[in-house]
Amino acid sequence: MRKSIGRELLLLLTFFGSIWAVVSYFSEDEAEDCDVIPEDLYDKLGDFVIDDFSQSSSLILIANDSFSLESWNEILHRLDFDNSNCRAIYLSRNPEVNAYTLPGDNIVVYSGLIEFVESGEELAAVMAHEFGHVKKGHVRELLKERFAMTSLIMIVSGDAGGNLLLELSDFLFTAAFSRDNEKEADYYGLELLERGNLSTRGMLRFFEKLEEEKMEMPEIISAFSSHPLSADRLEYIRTHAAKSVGDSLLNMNWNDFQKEMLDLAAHGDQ
Amino acid sequence: MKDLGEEKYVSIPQPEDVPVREREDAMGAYLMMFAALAAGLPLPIINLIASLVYYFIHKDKGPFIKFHLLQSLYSQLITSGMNVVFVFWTVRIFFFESTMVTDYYKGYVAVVVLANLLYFIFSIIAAVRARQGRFFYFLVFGKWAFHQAFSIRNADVKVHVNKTPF
Ligand SMILES: [Zn+2]
Repeated sequence: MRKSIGRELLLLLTFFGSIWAVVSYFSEDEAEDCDVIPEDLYDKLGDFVIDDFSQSSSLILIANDSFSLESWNEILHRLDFDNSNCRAIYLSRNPEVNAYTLPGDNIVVYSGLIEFVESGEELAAVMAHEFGHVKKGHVRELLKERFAMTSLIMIVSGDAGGNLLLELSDFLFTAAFSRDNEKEADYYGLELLERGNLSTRGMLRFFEKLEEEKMEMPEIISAFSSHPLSADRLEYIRTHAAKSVGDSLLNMNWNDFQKEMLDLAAHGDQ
Repeated sequence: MKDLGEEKYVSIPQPEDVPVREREDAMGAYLMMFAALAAGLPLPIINLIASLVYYFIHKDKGPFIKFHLLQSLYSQLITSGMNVVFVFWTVRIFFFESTMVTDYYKGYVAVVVLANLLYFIFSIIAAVRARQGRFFYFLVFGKWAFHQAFSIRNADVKVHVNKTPF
C-alpha cells in the first residue's frame, strides 16, 4: 500500500516539478529574445551614439575590453567587468550627479557623480546598477520598442538622413527605463556587489543621500529624463543591506581617486 | 517503522449496495468546492473551511462516503496550499513590491493553473461517479483515502461474545 502510494506521489511530484522547470526555463528564453537587434547592428549603433556624444561633450575612456585606468582596476575587478557584457565606460565632465547606459552598452559616468559620492563602495554600487541594465539587455528592450527595424537598417546602410538623427536624439532625450527595469537593475546590482564580497551598504548610503538632499537620480540614457526615487526602492535596498554578508571594503584611497578623476575630467575638457 | 504487512480492508460496496442518500452526500463532498469557489478565490482557505465542516458532518456515515470525503479533502488541501503560496507570492510582487516577477514565479503560475485545472476536472468526474455509487481514484489521494476509509482497524474487529453451544 505504502509503496504504491509512494510511486504515485513520485510520479505526481515529477510531473509538476518538470512543468515548473520547463516553464521557468522557457520564460527565461523569452526574456532574452530582445536579441532581435543583430549584434553587429547594435554595436554600430553604439559607435554612432558615442561619436555623436563626443562631439558635444568630453568623453574620457575609463575602460573597455583591452584597456582600463589603473585607479579603476579595483572596482572593475570586484564587479567582474570582464563578464559584464559592457563595451566601455567613459568619464564625462558634467556637474550633474549622473551615470547611464547608452545604446551599445557603453556606460557614461559624470564627474558630478564622482564628486557627489563619498566612497568607492558607493561608486561601485552605482556601477553595479548600470551593469544590471547592460546584463539584462534593457537598452535593447528600449530600442526595440522605439525603433522600427527598418530605421536601424537605414543607419547601417548609410541612408541615415536627418530624420533618423532627429529620431535618435529624440530617443536619447526622452527614453527612460521602466520601473521594472530599474528594479531589476537594482537587484542585479545588489547581487553583483554580494558576489564581489562588497558591502551593499554603499548602495543604501547612496540612495539615502539622494533622498536626504531631495534629489532624484536622473540617470538613464537621457540627462533630461528623471527617475523618481520611489520609497519602495529604498525599502528593498534597506532590507538587503541589513542582511548584507559581503563586508569587505575596496582596497583604494577614495580621496586620491576622486581627485584624479576630477582632474582628468577637467583636463580632458580642454 | 512498523511493518503493516498485508492490509485488511472492509469489503468494497457495489453500486447497488449504496443508497441514494449516501451517493448524494458523497457527491456533495466534491461539489462543496464549487459552492465556495467564488468566496475562495481571493482567500483559498475559505474553500477549505467549508470542506472541513462538510467532512465532520458526514464522516461517520459509512466507508463509501468517507472515502469520497477524504479524497476530496486531501486533494483540496494540497491545491489550496499551492493557491495560498501563489496568492502570497503575487501579493508580495504586486502590492508590496518586495520581490520581482521571476522565471520561477512564471513557472509556478503554470503549475498552479494546471493543478487547479486537473483538480477541477477530476473532481467533476469523481462527483459523477459518486452519484452513480461508484469509485474514482485520484493519483495518490485516491489510495490514501481508500486506505483510511476501508482498512480494518483492531478496534473495528468485533469481539464475538456470544458463541454457539456446539
Ligand atoms: Zn537605472
